[in-house]
Amino acid sequence: MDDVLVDLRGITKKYRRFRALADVDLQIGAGVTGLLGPNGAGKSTLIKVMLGLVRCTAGQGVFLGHDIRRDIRAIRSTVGYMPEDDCFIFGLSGVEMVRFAARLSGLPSVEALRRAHEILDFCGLEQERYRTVETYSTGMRQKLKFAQSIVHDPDFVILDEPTSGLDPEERQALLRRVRSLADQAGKAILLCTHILPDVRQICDNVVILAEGRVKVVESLEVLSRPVNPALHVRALGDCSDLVARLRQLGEEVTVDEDNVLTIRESAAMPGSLWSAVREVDVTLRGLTPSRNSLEAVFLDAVKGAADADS
Amino acid sequence: MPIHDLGYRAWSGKRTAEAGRWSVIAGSVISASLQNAWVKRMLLFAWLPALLWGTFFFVFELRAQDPNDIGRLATLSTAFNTFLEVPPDLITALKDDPHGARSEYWSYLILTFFRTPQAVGLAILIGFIATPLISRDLRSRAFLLYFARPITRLEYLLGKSAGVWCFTAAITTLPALLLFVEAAMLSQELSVLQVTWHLPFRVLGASLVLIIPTTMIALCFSSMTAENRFATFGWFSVWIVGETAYQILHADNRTWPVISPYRSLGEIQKWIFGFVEDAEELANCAIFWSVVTVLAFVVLYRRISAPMRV
Repeated sequence: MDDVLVDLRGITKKYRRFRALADVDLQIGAGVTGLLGPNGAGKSTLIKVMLGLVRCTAGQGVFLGHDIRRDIRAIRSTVGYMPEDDCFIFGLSGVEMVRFAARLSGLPSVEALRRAHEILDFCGLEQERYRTVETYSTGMRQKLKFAQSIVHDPDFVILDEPTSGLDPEERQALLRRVRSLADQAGKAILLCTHILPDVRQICDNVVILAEGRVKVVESLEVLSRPVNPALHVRALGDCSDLVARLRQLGEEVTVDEDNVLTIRESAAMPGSLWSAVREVDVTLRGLTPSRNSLEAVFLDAVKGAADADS
Repeated sequence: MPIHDLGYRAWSGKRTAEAGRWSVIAGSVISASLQNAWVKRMLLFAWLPALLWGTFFFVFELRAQDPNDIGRLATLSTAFNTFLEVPPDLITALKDDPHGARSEYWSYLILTFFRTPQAVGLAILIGFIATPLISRDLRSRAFLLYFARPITRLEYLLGKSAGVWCFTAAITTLPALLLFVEAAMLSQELSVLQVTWHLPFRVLGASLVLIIPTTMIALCFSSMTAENRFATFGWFSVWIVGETAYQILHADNRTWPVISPYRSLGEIQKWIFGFVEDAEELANCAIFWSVVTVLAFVVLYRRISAPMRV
């Protein structure tokens, strides 16, 4: 990793006898990093340790160049945090709450109000911003939490389940905003979620945590790379001739019940596929490289942790 | 999407000093409390006794200019002294040398102002303002919004307390100081400041004695429940039950002022204004309130830290 923003070494956190984090070594760089893990894996504890909300029992770490044990204030000044739980302040309207969050982070009064409107525009919270937050729907609250987490222009944003409770359209919009924060504003983002498609859609790197231990730290591209690369081919009509011709050419081909051909990668591919298609005169509808399923990686990591414990 | 939406924009302004961030919380307490119409009414109502005490000062100063007058002013002055239960030795001193007894009489007037209307008004006002402050944050899980930012738990407490102090000072310290200014102006002689210069300091001392412990206890109640009505109930119960118990014991010729917040705080205020009756009782009250204030602070701090430990 070229540009390490978070560098944790041997972080352990115990709540009396329960060990929430066990010797966590983790490095997080720029871009969007997905933090995955089953319930009770230690994701929230890890975030709280990073933010200095709880003290780690052992270990050390550097977050944006600041020691996570000593420079808590400096870390919180440059980090934005969107909690998973609903949290708001009674009696305030949406814009007042975002302004309040900005002021707590040190923005001057008038500037905080201007910035709150600017960020609420970005987050898509329009006239509703003048209503008290108690009256907000789940989706509006998610947008509001997202707005308060970025209003002070942090360098690093931690988003805990940002898309939970959102309808598909709003979910896509929020993911686009998160991605644009990374791409256009250069923010580093830690996305803590259970929703694997979200991770696949916007993350550059993936961290899988299970039983308080880091199981996987890898770029999504590497994780998606299959052990046995193959091409999935969809063809119009009967494709038995194509399958036969490919097998004659020495390719390893299987056909599933949806008539999708899976052709194992070989030295002759895709040249042999093009020549076979020409010869049997078949029209191709789709051609996609096989990818490793993130679900499978996740389940393997979680299962591995459970096996190790048992 | 608004037509002026330009996507995410960075913010590069200058942040305010970290040392004053608690004032943002104090400001939010003040603005939120002022949204309650009852609080506004109480503030207005709490200033009415200042008019009456202003009249006491006015009558005293008129009479001091002509001590031999035996007309309506003398009758009024006697009636006021009876109403205020002025100690007999002070009345004798007033008759002998009104100018010489001025400092002591002013002290007594301001003490009664603190003791009679303002202590009761303060108890009611704090019950309305302070008891919801932390319980609401507990209910709405607002702690993460505060503590994920560069705000410590002490600053959070200071901000909440300072918000309450502003209101309590507005109905105790401020009118008492204005009464002093009014009396000094009515005296028509600058030399009066030479003998009464200590009074503003006594006012500040008496305010602190009243404000700090009561705020700590009210916030402590507030931190113990997510339902602010229970905290309010607890707060008023302490005052009502304590005073009732004191009255019962007093009727039985036993004095135990520690049992009543109103009486025990009064004992300390009497000492501040130079009217100590029983040094042992005073010591008991001072120790009791010191211990209670420290305990309330410890409980409060632990309750605020508790949601982070999960």
